[in-house]
Amino acid sequence: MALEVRSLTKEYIRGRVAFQAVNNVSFVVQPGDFVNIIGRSGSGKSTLVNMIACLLTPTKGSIEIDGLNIVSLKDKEASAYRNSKIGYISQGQSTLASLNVLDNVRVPFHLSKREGTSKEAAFSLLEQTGISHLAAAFPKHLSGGELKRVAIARALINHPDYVIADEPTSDLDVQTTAEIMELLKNIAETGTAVMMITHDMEALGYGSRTFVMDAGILTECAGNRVYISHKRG
Amino acid sequence: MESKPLTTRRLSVYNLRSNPFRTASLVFVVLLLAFATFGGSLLSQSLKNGLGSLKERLGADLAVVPLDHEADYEGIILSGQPEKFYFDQSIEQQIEQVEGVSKVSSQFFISTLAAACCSVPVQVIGFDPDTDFVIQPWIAKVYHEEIGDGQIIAGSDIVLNDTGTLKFFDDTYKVAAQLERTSTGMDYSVYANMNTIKMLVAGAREAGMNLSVDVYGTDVDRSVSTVLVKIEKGYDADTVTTNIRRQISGISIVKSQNVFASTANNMDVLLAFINTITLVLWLLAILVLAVMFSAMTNGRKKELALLRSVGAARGKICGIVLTESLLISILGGTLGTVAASLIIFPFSTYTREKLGLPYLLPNVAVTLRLLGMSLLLSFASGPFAATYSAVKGSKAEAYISIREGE
Repeated sequence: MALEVRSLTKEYIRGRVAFQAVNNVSFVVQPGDFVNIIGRSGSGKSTLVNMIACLLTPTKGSIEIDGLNIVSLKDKEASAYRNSKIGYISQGQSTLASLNVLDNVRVPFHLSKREGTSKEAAFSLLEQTGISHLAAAFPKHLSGGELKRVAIARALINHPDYVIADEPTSDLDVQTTAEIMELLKNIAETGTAVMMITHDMEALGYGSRTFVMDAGILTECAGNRVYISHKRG
Repeated sequence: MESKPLTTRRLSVYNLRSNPFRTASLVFVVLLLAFATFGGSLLSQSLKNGLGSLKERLGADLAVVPLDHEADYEGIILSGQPEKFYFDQSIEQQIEQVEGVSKVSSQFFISTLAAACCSVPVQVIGFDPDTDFVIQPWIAKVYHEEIGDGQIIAGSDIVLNDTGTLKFFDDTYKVAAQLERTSTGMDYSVYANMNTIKMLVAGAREAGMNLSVDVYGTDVDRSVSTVLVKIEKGYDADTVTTNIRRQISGISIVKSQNVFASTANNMDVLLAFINTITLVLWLLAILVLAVMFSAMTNGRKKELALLRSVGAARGKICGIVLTESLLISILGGTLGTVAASLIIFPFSTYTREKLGLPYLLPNVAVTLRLLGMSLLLSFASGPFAATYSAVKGSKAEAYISIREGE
């Protein structure tokens, strides 16, 4: 199920001057793509992925999945779409402090009406992410890497078509970063498209495509490896 | 490990549990609100009931008493303070002849003693069953036969012994019935016909007790304490009072409407005070709750945004915040009404004594109605105070809130 972004623009008023955080962006993401989005801080990367996650409304343009323009969805429909199609991994610590690890993973399952229970699926995801032994623990007792694994498990609970990860390795050490990136790569290999914003050059190697965002304009690099070599060079 | 669905209610409960101090503070504010609402309304209703009961029990339009004994008479009526004062019984016949007087009936007051000879120190009110129009209609509600000689009727607050008798001046008297509560001094009084009064006086004299019935000699047949007057239709209390005063000297006249009006005035001030305090407390509680919920929602911006990011609709966010406020209100409201009940009901006698006003707790149906209203107001207070915060929290841009929380 391809995701088509067409002429997407997000305009803000800063002071009295209008500026385009995302400027006429178009691209297509296919199932199983692992898309890196890089760029300087404030270039519009987060704005772009948050529009795809229906957390921000574009000023103009469209985002289509199977011919459905999700930009025009009302809040309830947009939330249902986000809940079932998108696995969202936000920046930094993104767990709910009042719930234990297992319940944190189960939350998205219970935000829409669904048959069955979530416990087994959540536990299985915790096993896949290597933290099943922490199922009963509360977030305040977890390390940064463990919290990120919880966020990844939670993003996968509803079998989404797309996983959006906003700087998933920003505060992690090299070893943990590699482990998290392996997890995301495995997710893409199962057919779920992954869109990852990152500043981490090491993490780029796990992606299949790389886009550069600069002043709201998105450009795809001709070849992912070429871009990495160029940056390292 | 638990695997129950994470419903809105369960998410709210988990969040409340994870912040015990914050939750306890909010519950305490609602508790105060419920306490003020239920306690205030119960107190207010009890005073109104007391006033209604007083009006019903006054019965006569005028009470003629010996000169300068108006306050003593009011004391008997309002607080049951034992008093005795007498004048010549012939005054009853004189008053009956006065223009504008429809009915008269005399009463005879004596006091029993706080001594071994008497079960309780009370006011005994003797009445003439042939002329009485005040006490008998009231007694008839609980006792349908004529009160015999040697029988007494006890006010609601008189404590009876197991045998249903009371001992006065070493003689035992059978209690034929006990009256309903009136919240007036009548609850602390005992009622008997004039023959029983004579038996009491004789008993007192045999026991060597001074009853002070010597104002008009020692003949109880020639003395009365008060003459109650029912005014004829078409006459008002002031005119009849003037008519009586013109013809009879050495008396004072108590107008029932004045006793009632004076009590009602005192009560109005107290009721206004209670109602104002209740309203101010209620408004303050709502304000404090609104501020606390606003601060709480502000502090949870990132948490609510995270829920949005994983698929919670705005309505769901609103629902979570409002459910939390409702749970807090239910707990606080229940505890507040229980606390008010634990203070108001067991201490009603003490409250009545301290207020010095007629005070009659409402019946079960009215109490339940007040309880229901208080609970409803308390339960609504949380969601009412949290609505703005809930809507604001649900409308916040999730993406910005997540970043702000970093």
